[in-house]
Amino acid sequence: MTPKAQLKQYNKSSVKILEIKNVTKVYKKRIVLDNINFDVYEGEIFGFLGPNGAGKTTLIRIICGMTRPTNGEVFICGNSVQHNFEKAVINLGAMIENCQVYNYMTGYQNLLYYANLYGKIDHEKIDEIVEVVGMTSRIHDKVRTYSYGMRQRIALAQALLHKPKLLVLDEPTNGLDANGVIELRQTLKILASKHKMAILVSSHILAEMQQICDVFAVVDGGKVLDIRSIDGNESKTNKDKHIAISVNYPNYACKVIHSELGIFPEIAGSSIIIPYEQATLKEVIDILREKNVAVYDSKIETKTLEELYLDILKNKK
Amino acid sequence: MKFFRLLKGELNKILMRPILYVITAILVVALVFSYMLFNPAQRTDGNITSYDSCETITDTYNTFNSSTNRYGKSSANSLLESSQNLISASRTNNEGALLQEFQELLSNINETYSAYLVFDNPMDQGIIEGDTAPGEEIITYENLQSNITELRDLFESSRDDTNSLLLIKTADNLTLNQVFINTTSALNAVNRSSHASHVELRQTLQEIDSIKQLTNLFSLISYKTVDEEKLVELENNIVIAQNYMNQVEEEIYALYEENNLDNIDSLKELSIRYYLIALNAYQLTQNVINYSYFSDMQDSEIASYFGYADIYMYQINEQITKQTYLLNNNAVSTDYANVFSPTRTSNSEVNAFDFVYFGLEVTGFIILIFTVVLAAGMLAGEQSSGTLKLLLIRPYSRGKILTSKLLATMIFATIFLIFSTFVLFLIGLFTMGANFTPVLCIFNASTAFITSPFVVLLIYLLCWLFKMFLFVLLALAISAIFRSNVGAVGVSIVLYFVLSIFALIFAGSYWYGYLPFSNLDLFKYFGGAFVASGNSSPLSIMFSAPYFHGGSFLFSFLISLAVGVILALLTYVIFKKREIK
Ligand SMILES: Nc1ncnc2c1ncn2[C@@H]1O[C@H](COP(=O)(O)OP(=O)(O)OP(=O)(O)O)[C@@H](O)[C@H]1O
Ligand SMILES: [Mg+2]
Repeated sequence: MTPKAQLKQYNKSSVKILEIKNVTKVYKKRIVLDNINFDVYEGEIFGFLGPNGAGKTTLIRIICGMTRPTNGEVFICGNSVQHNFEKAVINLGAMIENCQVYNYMTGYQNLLYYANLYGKIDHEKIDEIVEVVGMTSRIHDKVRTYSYGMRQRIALAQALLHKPKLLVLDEPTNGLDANGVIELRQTLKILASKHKMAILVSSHILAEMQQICDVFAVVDGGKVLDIRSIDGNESKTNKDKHIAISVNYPNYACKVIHSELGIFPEIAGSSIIIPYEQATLKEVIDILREKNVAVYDSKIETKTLEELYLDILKNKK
Repeated sequence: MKFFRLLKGELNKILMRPILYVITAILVVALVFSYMLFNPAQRTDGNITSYDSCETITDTYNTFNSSTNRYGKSSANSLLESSQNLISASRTNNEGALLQEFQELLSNINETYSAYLVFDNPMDQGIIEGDTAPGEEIITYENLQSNITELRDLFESSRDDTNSLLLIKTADNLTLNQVFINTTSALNAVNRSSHASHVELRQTLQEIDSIKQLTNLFSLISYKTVDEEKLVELENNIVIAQNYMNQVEEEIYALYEENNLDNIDSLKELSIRYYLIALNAYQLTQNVINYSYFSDMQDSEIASYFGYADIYMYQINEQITKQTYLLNNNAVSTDYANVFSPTRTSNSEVNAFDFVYFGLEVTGFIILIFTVVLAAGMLAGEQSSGTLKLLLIRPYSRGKILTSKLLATMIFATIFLIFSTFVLFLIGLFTMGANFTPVLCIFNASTAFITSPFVVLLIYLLCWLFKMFLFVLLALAISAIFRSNVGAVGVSIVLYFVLSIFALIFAGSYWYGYLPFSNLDLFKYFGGAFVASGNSSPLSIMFSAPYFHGGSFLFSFLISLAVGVILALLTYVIFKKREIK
């Protein structure tokens, strides 16, 4: 199955907001993005994962029109960013890597400035967004006096100001405190579900992404390796599950399982881990009990995004 | 409408930038400094003085008729006479008769040249050096001695061949010309002296009068001819002048008859005008004839006489336009202001306008730097600080964003320029008063018009804005190309200084006027040259005359415009393609 076909299978809505078509970017003979294709749909939170230098930021810059792709095109709500820029980006809100607001203005003045660029300023809406990003108490201070995380929050606020149909965030959790991360997660969920926003997030923090994203794509070396959904049971195959049993002697337990079932469980601390499709929980526990291995805890776990991610990267090799 | 929002945003940003306060403070300091530094040379038309001491109508009338009054009736009439003589000399020259006369006189002198050996006596040394008029270049004995020797050698060598002497003249020999000028002025100095012991010397010198005659003739002779048509026109001008003078004289006589002391100022004014009409006609004659001689010459030839050939040609043209206009409109008067030089007063008295022009030369430069700093900060600055990214994702094309930045800086430049003008004018108004006498402008050396000083001020401000606009474009281009804020500001300011220094050094070089940035000052084309005429110091030339022969408003405007268009295209194309990191 092509990544695109896979995606279709998981999506909830059929309204395409972002469409990336054959995007290739070459910097002085180095291929940074290699024929990228994917779509992001209304109400969907799309995670964009990849190691350092994978090309995440480059793609986001192309989506925002900061950089021209060597080949291919990006459409936002059907308008080409490359050929119909003004119409395309009217539906775009973005937080780009290293973007800054004006530090000689207050946070509020900054938001007023950006709001003005879209039309009549609605002060209530600005106040609402300030509240959403949790900056109410410091919004009238100069940005110069803000901490890094506060700046991130303002940067997020400016992306939300005009209620864009597509929100693009490059590592938005960078610099946010635990609270901020949780709030951001909630905010994004609300924006996606209530306001039907399509959201593209790139991040390194996989645990974070797992809790936010509906769909994620893994990129490395400029190629999309896989596109998967991590939302809804129906989409999960047994491949993504495993049995984890906490025992007193994991090494011994391994041997026992191997001799009885012919499979090699992985050892993780005091637990042994067996792929779900290779044995049932009951089967394993029975064997262990028979051999007098003390079982402290046992459960069927879904693979974390981290594991999926590592799998995908491994498969590539 | 949408674009207007973008522009409004840019303006708001400038308003909030801390640098705005720094620059405003600097501007205020500059305004105060310009007041402290303001010390213009008084513009003296020199004509009023002789009537200053007259207190009664009769007194004034007598002064007017007095033969010793340099600005009186008789000298006015002799000016008209001289004009006539110039015209007939030109005719004679056209016929070759002048040359013949010169040759006769020369052969005469060659026989009796022992006369000017008189200066071989070292006793005369002190006399000559002591009698230089104040302000005149001091003629040392050694100088004079060598000049005389040179002159003698020249005459001796031309004993058999007069044509060779004239050939030297036309083959642009500056030294020869200088020898004549120096000798004549030294002789004049001795002649003017009232020292008792000079009387004897003067008697010897009488023989030398023929040298003076010779030099006069020499200056009249030319291988070029003046069109008969032009000479007829000049004669007509003299008739016109004579008519006006007759009218004025009648008015003078009427006032004299009335003998009402209230009219004394009008009487003085009329007396001065009588002389000025004649002077104007005389200068016009002189200029037209000179222009005819020089117009066929190479720049290098003219330069050998006047140093700055191109400037001279523009000046002389401007003078002709001015004098023709004044004569034909019966508008000869000392009243018109000249507001074109920041180093001189526009009128016989210092007034607010002078201060405004002086102050704007200083503050205009500061505002120019300010706009450059603003423009660079808006492009290179935003790029390096990372704020540009959040601006570029708005629904505005990069071209629009660039245009909004350009316009916003220019709007601020305009506001600051108007603010400075206003403050300077107020300071001037309260400390020295304003003089609203109309200004005589000569546009492009070809059209003269008289207009309100405010109109000229407006033209001046527009010229400044034009200059600033080009520098802002330059700053934006450098910002777009090198993405360096400091670089953009640095290059623009250094360029400004280099240009100012070049203007001083290369004024009069043929190539200089063709350089892209040497044509930015359009105000020169509104009549500055005649302010500088007779004063060809580099500074006054820099402020007043165009740089090269054939320089015209249109040429300078187009060259500057072309520079602007190229810079703008460069900036737009590069900025559109630029990857924003
Ligand atoms: N202007 C450029 N010139 C040359 N190479 C570039 C340029 N910009 C990016 N690259 C290269 O493109 C690749 C992808 O960079 P990119 O910034 O998109 O990675 P990323 O996935 O965002 O990484 P990170 O997780 O570190 O932010 C890198 O190998 C980088 O060196
Ligand atoms: Mg990145």
